[in-house]
Amino acid sequence: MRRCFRSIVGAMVAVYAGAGPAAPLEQAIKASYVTKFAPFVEWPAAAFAGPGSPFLICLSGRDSFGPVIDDLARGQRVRGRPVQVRRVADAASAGDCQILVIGAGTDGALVEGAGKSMLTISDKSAGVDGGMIRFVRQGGRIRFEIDNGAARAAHLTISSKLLELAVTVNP
Amino acid sequence: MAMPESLMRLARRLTASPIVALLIALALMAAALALAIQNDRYGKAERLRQASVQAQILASSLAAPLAFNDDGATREYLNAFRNDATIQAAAAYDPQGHLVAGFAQPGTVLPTVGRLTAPTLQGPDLIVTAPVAQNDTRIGSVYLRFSIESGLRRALRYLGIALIVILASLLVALLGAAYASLSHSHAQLKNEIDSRQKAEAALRQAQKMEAMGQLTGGVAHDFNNLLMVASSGLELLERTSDPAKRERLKTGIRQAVDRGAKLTQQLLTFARRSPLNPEVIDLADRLHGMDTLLDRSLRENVAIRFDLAPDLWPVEVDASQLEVAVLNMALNARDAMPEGGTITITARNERRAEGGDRVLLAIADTGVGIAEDKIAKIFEPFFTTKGVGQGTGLGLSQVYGFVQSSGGEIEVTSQPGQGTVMCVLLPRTTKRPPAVAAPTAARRTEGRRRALLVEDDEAVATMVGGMLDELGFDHHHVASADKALECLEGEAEVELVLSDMVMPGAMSGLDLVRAIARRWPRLPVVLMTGYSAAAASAAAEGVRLLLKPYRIEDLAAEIDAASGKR
Repeated sequence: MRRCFRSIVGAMVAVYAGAGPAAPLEQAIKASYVTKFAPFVEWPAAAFAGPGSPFLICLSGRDSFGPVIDDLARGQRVRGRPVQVRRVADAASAGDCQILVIGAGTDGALVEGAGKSMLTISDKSAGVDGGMIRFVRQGGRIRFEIDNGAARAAHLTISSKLLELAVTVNP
Repeated sequence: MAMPESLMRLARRLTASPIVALLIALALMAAALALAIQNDRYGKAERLRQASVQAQILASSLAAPLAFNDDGATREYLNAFRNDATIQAAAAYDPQGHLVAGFAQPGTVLPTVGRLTAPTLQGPDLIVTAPVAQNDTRIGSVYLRFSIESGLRRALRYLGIALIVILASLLVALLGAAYASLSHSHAQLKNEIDSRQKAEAALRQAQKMEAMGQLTGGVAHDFNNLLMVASSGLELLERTSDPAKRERLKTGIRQAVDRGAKLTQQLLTFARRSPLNPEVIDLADRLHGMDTLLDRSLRENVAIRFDLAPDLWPVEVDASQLEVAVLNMALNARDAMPEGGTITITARNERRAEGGDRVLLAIADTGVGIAEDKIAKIFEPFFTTKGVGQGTGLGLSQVYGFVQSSGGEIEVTSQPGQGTVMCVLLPRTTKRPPAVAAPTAARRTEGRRRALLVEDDEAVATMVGGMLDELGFDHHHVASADKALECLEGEAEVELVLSDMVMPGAMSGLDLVRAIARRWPRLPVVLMTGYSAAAASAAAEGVRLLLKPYRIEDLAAEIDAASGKR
C-alpha cells in the first residue's frame, strides 16, 4: 500500500502532461480521492445497516480504477468502519452503499433507486456527469466540483474544508 | 500618624536589632525570587499551550488541502505563519512523513521526515507537532518551531523588577538597621539624660551647700564682730559714768546694730524676698540726703563729689533699696582706693532711642580698677576680692538685684589702674513725686493717745511698747490678730493699731488690716515685719509697712503717715 501511494505521489507530476482519458496515473489519483472524501462527509446513522457494518464504496458502470482502488481501500477505516469496495450492477446491490462512483454506462435507474443517503461521485472529465462530487481537470490538475444542494437533499453534510477546496460549489 | 499600639509593639520587636531587618530583607528577596521562578514556569506552560493550540489550528486547516494535494492552499496556510516573528519554521507532512510544504527562517532547518513528537525544547526554540486528521483518518502532520525567549533574555526582562526588589530589600534592611540603631541610641540617650539630671541635681545641692557655708561663714563673722562691739560697748557702758564716754559707746553700739540690720536687709534683697516698696522719688533729694551716711561710711582720705544735673526726671524705685545700692557701690569704690581718692556721684537725664528715657546714676572712683576677666563676675553673689571678713560678696549682687527689679540696667566700665565707673540706668516715670513730708523728728504730741500693739514676740513687744510710750501712746498689748479683733470690738477708743505681720493663729497681720479696713475704715493701721513673703502683697495693697529693725524716728514717721492718710 505504501508503495502504491508513492507511485501516486510520483504520478501527480505525470498527470500534468497526461491528456488521455485512461491515463492510469490520473485514475489512481482519482481512486485515492474517492477513498479520501469519506472523512469530510457526514452520513446519517440511518445510512448504515448496523454499528458493525462496513463502509461501502460502490462502483457502477465501467470500472475505470481497476485493482488500484481495492489496494487503496484495503485496511482503511472510516469512522471505525472497515472500508470495502463493491462493484454493483443494480439498485438492489447498491442499496446500502455510502459512496457510489458512477462509471460510464451506469443505468440511471440504479442511481435513482439506490439508498437515500449515498454520496455519488462521477468523473466529469471523462464525460460522466450527475454525481454530487464531480472530478474535473483544471490547470493540469485533478479537481472537483461539489453539488452541495444534492448532498443536502440526501441528508449528507459535506465539511466546509472540502467545499473550500472544490472548484465550484452548487449550493 | 497614629499607629495602633499592637502595631507599634510589632515594629519595635521587628527592629530590635539590625539582624532582624536584614532577615526581613532577605526573606523579601527570596519571596521575590520564588515568585519570579513560579511566574516563569507558568509563562512557559502558557507558551506551550499556546503553541499546541496554534499547531492544532494549523493541522485542522490543512486537513483538506493535504488530503487532496492542494499544495497551493497548504503553502498559503503555512505562509500565514511567516508574519509571526516568533515562528522559526512551519511545515506540513503527508502521512508517510514526506514534506509537502513548509518554510524555515534563516538559521533554521526543517526536518526532512515528519513525525509526531511530544513538545520539545531545542535550545531556545520550542518544537511542537500535531497530527492532521479528519474524523480519525490520519492525513498527515504539521511541524511548528517557535522561538521562545532565552533564559538570559527572560532574566534581563526580570532584571528591572529584580533591581527594584533588591533596592527595596536594601532599603528595608537599611531603614530597619537605622531605626534599630536609632532606638538603641535613643535608649542610651535617655539613660544619659537621666544620669545627667541626677548629677545636676547633686551638683546644685552641692553648690547650695557651698553657698550656705560661705554665707554663714561671712555673715557669722560680721555678726560676731557686731555682737562683739555691742556686748563690749554695753559692758563698758555699765562701768563708766563719764557722759561723753557713754555717748561714744552708745553711738558705737547703735552703729553696730545698724550694720547688723543692713546686713540682714542685704541678705533678704539678695534672696529677692525683701518686700520692694517702689515710690516716686527725686534722685537728687535722696542723694543729698545720703551726704552724712556716705561721709560716715568713707575714710578721711576719700573725697566725695556730687555732680547732679538740675531738673532730674523722677524715677519710681524702692527708696531704701536705692540708698543701700548707692552705699554698696560707694563702699566698693572706697575699698578700691586703699591709697585714697575721689568718688564722683553723677546723675543726669539720658534720652535714648531704644529703651526710652532714663535717669543715669554713675558712681566713679579713681581706684585700682577691675580686671577684665572679673567684670563679668562682680555681680555674682558671694564673689569677692576682699579678704575673709571684709566682704560678703553680697554688696554688688544687691545692687544688681535692685536694678533688675526696678526695670533698669547696670553697666560697668573699668581699666585696671584707671578706676571704675558704675552706671545705673533707671527708667523715667511720668508720675509726680509726692510733696516732701514734714521733718520726721520724734516729738511728743500734746495729750496721750491709745494704741493697740499686736505682737507675738514678748521682747519686741516690750521695746516697741517703750517706743510708743515715747511717742505719746498708751498701749494695750495682745499676742494675736484674733485677740486684737476681740479687743477692738470691746474697746472703741483705740486710735492706732500697730501689728506684726506673721503671728500664730488663723489670722495674719495682713488679714487683720483687711478686717479693720472693712469694719473701722477710719482707724489707722501700721504693719511691721522683719521678713515675710506676704509683705510683698502687703506693699502691693498699699498698706503702710515698717521694716524691722527700725528706729523710733521711722516709727513716728510711719504713724504720722498712716494717721494723715485717713
